[in-house]
Amino acid sequence: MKKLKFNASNMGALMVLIVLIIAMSIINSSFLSRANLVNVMQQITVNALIASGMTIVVLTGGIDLSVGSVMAISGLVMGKLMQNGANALVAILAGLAIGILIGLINGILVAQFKLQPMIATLGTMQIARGITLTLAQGRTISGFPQGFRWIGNVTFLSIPVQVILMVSIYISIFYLLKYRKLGRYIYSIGGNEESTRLSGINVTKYKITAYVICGFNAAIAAIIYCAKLNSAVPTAGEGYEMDAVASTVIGGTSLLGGFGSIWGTLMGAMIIGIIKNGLNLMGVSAYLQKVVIGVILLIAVLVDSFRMRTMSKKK
Amino acid sequence: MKKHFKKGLSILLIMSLTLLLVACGTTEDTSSSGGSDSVVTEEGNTTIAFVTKSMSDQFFIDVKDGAEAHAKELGINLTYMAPEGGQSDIEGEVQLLEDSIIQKVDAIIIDVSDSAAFNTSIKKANDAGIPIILFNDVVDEKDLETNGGHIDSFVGMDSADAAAQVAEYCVKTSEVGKVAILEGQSGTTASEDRANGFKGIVEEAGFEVVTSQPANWDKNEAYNVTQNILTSNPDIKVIFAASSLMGIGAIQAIEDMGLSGQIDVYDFDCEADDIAAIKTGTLKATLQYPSKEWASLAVDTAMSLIKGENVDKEVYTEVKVVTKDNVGSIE
Repeated sequence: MKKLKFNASNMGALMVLIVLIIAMSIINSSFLSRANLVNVMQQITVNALIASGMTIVVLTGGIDLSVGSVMAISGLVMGKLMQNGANALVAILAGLAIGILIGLINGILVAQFKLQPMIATLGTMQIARGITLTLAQGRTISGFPQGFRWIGNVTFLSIPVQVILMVSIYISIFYLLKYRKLGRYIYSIGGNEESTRLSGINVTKYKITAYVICGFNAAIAAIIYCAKLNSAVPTAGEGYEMDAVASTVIGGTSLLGGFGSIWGTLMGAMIIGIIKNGLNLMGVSAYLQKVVIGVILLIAVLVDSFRMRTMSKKK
Repeated sequence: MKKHFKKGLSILLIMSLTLLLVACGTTEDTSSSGGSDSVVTEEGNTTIAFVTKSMSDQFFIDVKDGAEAHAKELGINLTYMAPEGGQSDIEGEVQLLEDSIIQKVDAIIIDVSDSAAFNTSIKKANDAGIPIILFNDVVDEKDLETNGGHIDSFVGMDSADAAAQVAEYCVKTSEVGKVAILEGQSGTTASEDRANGFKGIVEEAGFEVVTSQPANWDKNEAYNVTQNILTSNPDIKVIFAASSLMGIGAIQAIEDMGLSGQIDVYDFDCEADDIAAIKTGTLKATLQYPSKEWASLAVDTAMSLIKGENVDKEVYTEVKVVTKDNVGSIE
């Protein structure tokens, strides 16, 4: 299956993005201001990070609904540690470890026990959320040390550090998917799991890896979220899995697996973020924003299904 | 053939998208709420952003009506916003605040959904010279000040005092006995102030608060929690719910368990259901705060700040305990 940087799948997303930017800047004069563009990039960072992990899982033909809860529990653990005097680095490592752990659990449930990804991750989503709420007793933890907060505030060459981090992660994932064995196998598993298994590839191992990466990225998103807001909120991330899936699909990745690109997801995240930002600037109600994003998502899925049909006809 | 399909579809996609956006753009321009052109370049075209944490409560609907009506009277633009994900979408609400700062509005009134998450953005508003007025919910001011930020005013209700007033009526009216409290979201200031305000007064008078449980401001949850509480504590005589929906949910549970008339219920908010319940006697008292006037008060405070006048750090709205004695005089 194709996995070039700019293939048919993300051409559509690219065109939509360009048109969107043009439309927004016409409708609203503050849209293209430097301050607003930096604002938008910052606003999409958390979702883009979560979506990047989601993309890898979706490429294997699966899905991970627990990402929002992973973000929350990771954030809570970091918060609690820092509240009890741990330094930022220790807290961050612990947060990442939680992400990896839950990713591992998800991966084992799906790859080893052959559970349906949606159900397995729904389960871990609930469990993680419940543990988070219990540990937090409903309270937010705030007041983090400067060693942690700088991640959310500092700019480097006037680009926020969080954006630089996000872009680096995307570049790493691109490299992984295109130039490493892991990447090739992930596409292969999503394209045709049986024949991949029959060719002697350890499908279980690579599927688990995909879910671990997803959990890890959700934990990174947690770092940005908590640093930005200077608080660990137990209800954080509710519904974030939806935006992550939407970004992935709008970006051209097929939910059936095996087809798509990571840059498409970034574009998908930008599309959603720009719509929200632009509509905010126009004063459009948040409810109407949901409608717009839903419509775009449906169109993206329809395009995907057309493409799947015409591709199989070609064979 | 395949290329045709894809091209056609992409064009369709782009066209419908652009259409959608232009449609949104035009509908918003015709309504009086703030749009892009209301950024202050024209004389006398003041814009205020009113950011709240939710749009789905009767309270917030009233606040919206009150604020927009008053803004119309004053001839200013008011943009009322709430985040997509409701009260738990803290990030979404922070984004609305930041977008308002970018829009260079003249003042921002905000009902924060978290006491710490907004401080960084509040400082940005300070730096941009935009007055910030807190509405209904407070922030962690110590944390805010350590970061060099400040708020210009707080327009709110003294929840603890209001709850204490309801408690005083309870002490006068109900027999001393066991009490159960239905909190909102545990850990939030609004919930804690109300619960503790009520608890303090009744405990002084000899009542025993046996349990205090959160029901997340939700009617259905309050129903379930009440059922559970009454099942394990059948000798409870008083229930205090920190909001109207929870109070009505509790009353429903009491009825369904066949305990009507045996338990005194007190709640907050004075919504339509509360008024009806007081008239039938299923609710003993509730607390009324005039939401629309409260919103207007916030708008006036914002206007004073825009004009450079001095305002009080804390501006409180009037509250009233509503009981069967005065329910007739409410709308």
